[in-house]
Amino acid sequence: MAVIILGLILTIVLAWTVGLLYMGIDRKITARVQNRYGPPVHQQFIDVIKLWKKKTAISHGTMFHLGPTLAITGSISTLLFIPILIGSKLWGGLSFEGDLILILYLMVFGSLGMALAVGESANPNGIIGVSRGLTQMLGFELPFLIAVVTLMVQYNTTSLVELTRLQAGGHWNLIYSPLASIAAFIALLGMMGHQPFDVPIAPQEIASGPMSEFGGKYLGTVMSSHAIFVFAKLTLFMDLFLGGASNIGSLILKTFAIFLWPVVVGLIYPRFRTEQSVRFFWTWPTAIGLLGLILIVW
Amino acid sequence: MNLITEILLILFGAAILTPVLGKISRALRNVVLFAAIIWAGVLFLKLYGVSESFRWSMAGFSLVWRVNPLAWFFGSIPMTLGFLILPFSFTYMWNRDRQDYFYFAFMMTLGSMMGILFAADFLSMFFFWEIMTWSSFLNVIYYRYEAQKAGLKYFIMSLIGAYSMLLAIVFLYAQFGALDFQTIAMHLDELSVGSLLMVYILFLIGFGVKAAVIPLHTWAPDAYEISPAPFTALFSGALSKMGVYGFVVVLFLLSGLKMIQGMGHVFGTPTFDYVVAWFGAITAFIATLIAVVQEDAKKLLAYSSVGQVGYIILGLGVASTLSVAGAFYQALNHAIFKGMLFLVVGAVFYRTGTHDMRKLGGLIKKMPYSFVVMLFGIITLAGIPPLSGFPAKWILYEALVDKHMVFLLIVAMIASTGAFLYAYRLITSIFLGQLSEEFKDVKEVPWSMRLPMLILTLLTILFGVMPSLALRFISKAMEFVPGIAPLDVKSFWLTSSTGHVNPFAVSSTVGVVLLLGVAAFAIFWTKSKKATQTDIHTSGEPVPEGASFRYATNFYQPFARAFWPLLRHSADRLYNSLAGNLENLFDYLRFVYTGNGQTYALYVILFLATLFIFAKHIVF
Repeated sequence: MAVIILGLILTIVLAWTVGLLYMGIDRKITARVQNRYGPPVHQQFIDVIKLWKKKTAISHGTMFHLGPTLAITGSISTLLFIPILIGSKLWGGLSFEGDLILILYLMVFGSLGMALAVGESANPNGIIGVSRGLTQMLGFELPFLIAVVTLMVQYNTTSLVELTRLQAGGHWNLIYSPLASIAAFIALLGMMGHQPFDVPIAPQEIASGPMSEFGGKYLGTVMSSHAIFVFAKLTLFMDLFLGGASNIGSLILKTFAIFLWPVVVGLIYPRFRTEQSVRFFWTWPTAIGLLGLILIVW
Repeated sequence: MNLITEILLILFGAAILTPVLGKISRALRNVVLFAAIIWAGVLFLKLYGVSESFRWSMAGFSLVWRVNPLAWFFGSIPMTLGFLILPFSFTYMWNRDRQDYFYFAFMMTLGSMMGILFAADFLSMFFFWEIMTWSSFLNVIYYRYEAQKAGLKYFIMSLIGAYSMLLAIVFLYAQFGALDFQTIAMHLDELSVGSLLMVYILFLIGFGVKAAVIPLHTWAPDAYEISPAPFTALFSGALSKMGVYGFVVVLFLLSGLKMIQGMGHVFGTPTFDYVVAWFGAITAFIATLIAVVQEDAKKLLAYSSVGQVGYIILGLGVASTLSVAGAFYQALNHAIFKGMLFLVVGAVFYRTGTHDMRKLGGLIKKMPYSFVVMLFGIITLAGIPPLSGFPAKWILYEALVDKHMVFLLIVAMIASTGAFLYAYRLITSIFLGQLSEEFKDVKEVPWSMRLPMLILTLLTILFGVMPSLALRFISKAMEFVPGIAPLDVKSFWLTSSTGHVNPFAVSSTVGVVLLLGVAAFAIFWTKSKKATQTDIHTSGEPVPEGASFRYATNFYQPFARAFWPLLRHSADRLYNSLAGNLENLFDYLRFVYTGNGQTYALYVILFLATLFIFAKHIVF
């Protein structure tokens, strides 16, 4: 019991650190590509700590106050039900208590909390951002669900622990279920919200949308929640397609490799419009995913 | 006297007494009605776990009434909702016209629903079914002139359903000379596959109209929108479940082996059932897409109701132990959260006089309790853990994974993501965003309306944290569903052959993290400064005095654009154009009536000649 609780706390700390670090690296890479010097890699840590140290914060009401807490609760809960390292009791989290369908639904919890807080802030830009974000979510969920369902029926399990175990010995789904992987990794672009799929944030159009009303401790918490969630999503993809990780080194390596994919794509393309984004997700990645699924079921 | 008859007599008796008591005093009538429903409820509780039937005859027909855990499970839905909605409507209706009319129709609907569930032969079932149809029709046309069109549509669709049901019943009676479920189920294999298929389809059209399965759903959005809110809660929560119960009767109680052998299997499920499952999945998907673009809260909920009942039909169609358990769980769950959501929208209407989402907004500060109820309602609706929506969806999905029905699974899952879209729209447009000047003096509804909503909220939490509580009833009910293996219920776990989840662990994790977060916010930081709703970041644009920054009209414009090719089709318009064409056709028949006596005489002679030829040469 004590081991598990210690493991949970360590997992959260690791996710927060790695997540913020990756976001810092993202800014650095983007800057270098655009021929700028860019902020230091640890800039995100400075930002979060500065925000948390601010004495004042503006609140728009109870739901606004609770929203960031709900968001970080959702991120942490999702993280805890994903196995971090295979076969480790300390880094296994609570993954034995749940399975993939649970994770898919828990992932929405935090976004709902955030969306409600944005709603109460009464900033029209924020609500437009949420409405765009949800519409885009319907877009990328389809190829992602197709990929996940392919894996479920292929291995006849919905348990994430079981899925990582079945990939042991280099039997990665990335190689052995290529079509599902392509569909899922295109969906990941939408999930991570980099360009060309940054329609919910779109700084030049709707002033950063959902984030615009948050400040001080609220923004610090939202950023931390985002960092943990990014790490949780990367770990989920690693467990699904890259065979999980057996030590911290390979965990960092694999998640970073997955993280680079949306960053690199984002540097090339300009932003989609929301309906273009949905149509994109419902055509190419969906068709590829369906093809893979048909091949599996056949 | 028998408990079944007693419950029916109390409910129908209360209905008939309503106009008389209403003349004396409104308060007296309300007290008597509430006492009646409590009395009936206590008697109903005594029937838990009882399984007995009795036979009596009327006008030469032998009727069978029975109670068993299956009927009890479905009966608990109208009983609970009726018990909670009645006190809500006492306040809601207090200052409105035609109250006796409302309560009369309300109690008749409730009684007839119990009658349908107690019936074990098609004649009494049809009898109560028709009472249910016209008593609910009375409440659909409560607002008279505005409701004319919706009422007519509901009535016509119900008639189509009733006639096809009647046709099937008459056919079965002609074949077997009996109408009770048991005799018919025993002799069903004597029929040919073709006539079996016809009977099934006729019955499913009948029940499908009430369950609002696409393409028989067109009445639901209009009827739900226009009926008084407390009745809509009963309508969507309980009455649609009668259609579901009908599906259970047809798909399981009447399932003939011959049918299954005659049509073969798909993924280990009888082909006919598999097709029904697809109807459910398509209903869930299409109705969800339409719900997203609605501008009226009740219409949105109506489409949502159509979609969520689609999941139940999907579960019944797949016809495995897990899927039927999931369908029953979803039936219970849908009754709870649709009860909550329609009551909240009713509460908002009670205070503001509108359920147009474009006009509302920012009511969280005025009606915090209602907001909390709606928040829990949409979390359940979207199937997010730890509330009762999650176990229902989980069981259903696991059943589909288990059966390898991947395409059904994907359609069901993407529909549930779509549900998240309209759920957010609903709560944001009503409770969040900016409060308009018009509603700045709105107050929370009185406790008589708040309590029923809060009790339903507690139920959804309870069944979400401990699904085994509900699954106990469901597994008992499923023992009376023939052809389905018994369900294994574990205290804390939901299990299937492919996965498991511990909802108790999930809810405690979420609960602990949330509490720690809220505590940290309270301990480590000083209180936040409150800002008004106009004090927002506008990227430097000055906000003119009194300007409203509400984003509520055409909320999902990009969605509507992306899905326009799908959304522009409408079953309703298709029926209307069909009706228009038929009208033109019948217009030509008008020329038959020339107004000339000699022509008519010719018709009579022609008719007699035809009759003569028919009798002489064709029949004999």
